[in-house]
Amino acid sequence: MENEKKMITLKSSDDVTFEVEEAVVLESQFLSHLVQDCPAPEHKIKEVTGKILSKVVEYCEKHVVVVVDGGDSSSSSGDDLKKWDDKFIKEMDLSTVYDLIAAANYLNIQALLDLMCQRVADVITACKDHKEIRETLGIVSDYTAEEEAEVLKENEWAFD
Amino acid sequence: MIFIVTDVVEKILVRLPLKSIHRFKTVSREWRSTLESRRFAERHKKSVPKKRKILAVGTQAQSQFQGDTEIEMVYVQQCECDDATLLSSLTCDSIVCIPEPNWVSVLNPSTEEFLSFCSGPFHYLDDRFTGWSTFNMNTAMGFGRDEILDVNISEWRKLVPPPYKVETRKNSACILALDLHTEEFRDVQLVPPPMHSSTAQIVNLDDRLAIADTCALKPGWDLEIWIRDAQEETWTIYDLLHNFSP
Repeated sequence: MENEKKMITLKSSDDVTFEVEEAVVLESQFLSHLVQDCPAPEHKIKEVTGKILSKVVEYCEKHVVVVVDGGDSSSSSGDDLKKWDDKFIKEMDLSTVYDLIAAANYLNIQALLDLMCQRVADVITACKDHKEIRETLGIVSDYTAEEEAEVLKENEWAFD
Repeated sequence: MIFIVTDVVEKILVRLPLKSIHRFKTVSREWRSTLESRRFAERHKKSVPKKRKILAVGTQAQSQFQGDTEIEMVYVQQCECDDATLLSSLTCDSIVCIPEPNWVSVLNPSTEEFLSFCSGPFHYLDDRFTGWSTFNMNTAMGFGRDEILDVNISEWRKLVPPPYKVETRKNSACILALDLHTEEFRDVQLVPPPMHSSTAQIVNLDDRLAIADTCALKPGWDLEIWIRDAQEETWTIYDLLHNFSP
């Protein structure tokens, strides 16, 4: 009986259901507490949409270390996992990244949160100047023209 | 941009390299205040694995070490005084202060900004005998004695006087600590075991107060470094440089 995997159903805010192994759920601190405290077969996560939850499940399924009797062939090696992560984030637009950050923060999945934060940081680093950052991230400047000139002068060395 | 809690925003921003942080400051007022907060600076310091930087005072041509993948070199070339290399350069929040004859040079190794300031209106009036060269333990930090140099406005300010006068040729050793944030003096009660020479210098080692001293009495030109434990208020000797020869 030990080998039989316990399945848990997760339901998103828009009622999309995902059936996953318990080990996958345990990647999330929040969900592992939920599963422990409340042994119901189905858990509704009101804060996360189906689109984002599918990404979360995809990530957790990939990252869960599957221990199969007598072999380690099914566990992903570090390099493969990193390549997978890179592909996973490159295919995503920024608004999905934001939603995933919020979801990873809420569900407390540290590795996913780190990965997504790094992605945003990389986007910012790639921006040449303040105008590009504003455009990319949709930030509205609240500087007056004088203030902006002053702060630009102060940080001149950072632009080259 | 959708709402992301501040804590998470900081998680993103601490991953940025220094240049990007400064570029980001120019984006909006809100971002600037986040990035300039002390809390953020502390977090950034802890989170980013940095290359070790070695500061070399002098000219690049004289240097035999060009840096490698692990160590980045920053050269200070504006020093006109050859003796500058012999003076204690002091650090505070990663800013290096190099005292020179008539001015104080301040370097930020991260941005490679190098600024020189005149050494202040209150300097050395009662110190004619030894002159400026006593920028060692006796005259305490190069930032002045009871004056503070505000590098933002290039002005010296006189502080509330310390609890007692620190005199150059006083026999007993004493250390006065100045909290730059509260601008208050505090007497460091315990001083390490006797100094061997008058060239002993106060240094900042891993953010702890330390005193470096050479000991000519011992064979092999020993360099002794005493480190103060701020919590325990005790001094311990740092033995890594045993029998170090220049």
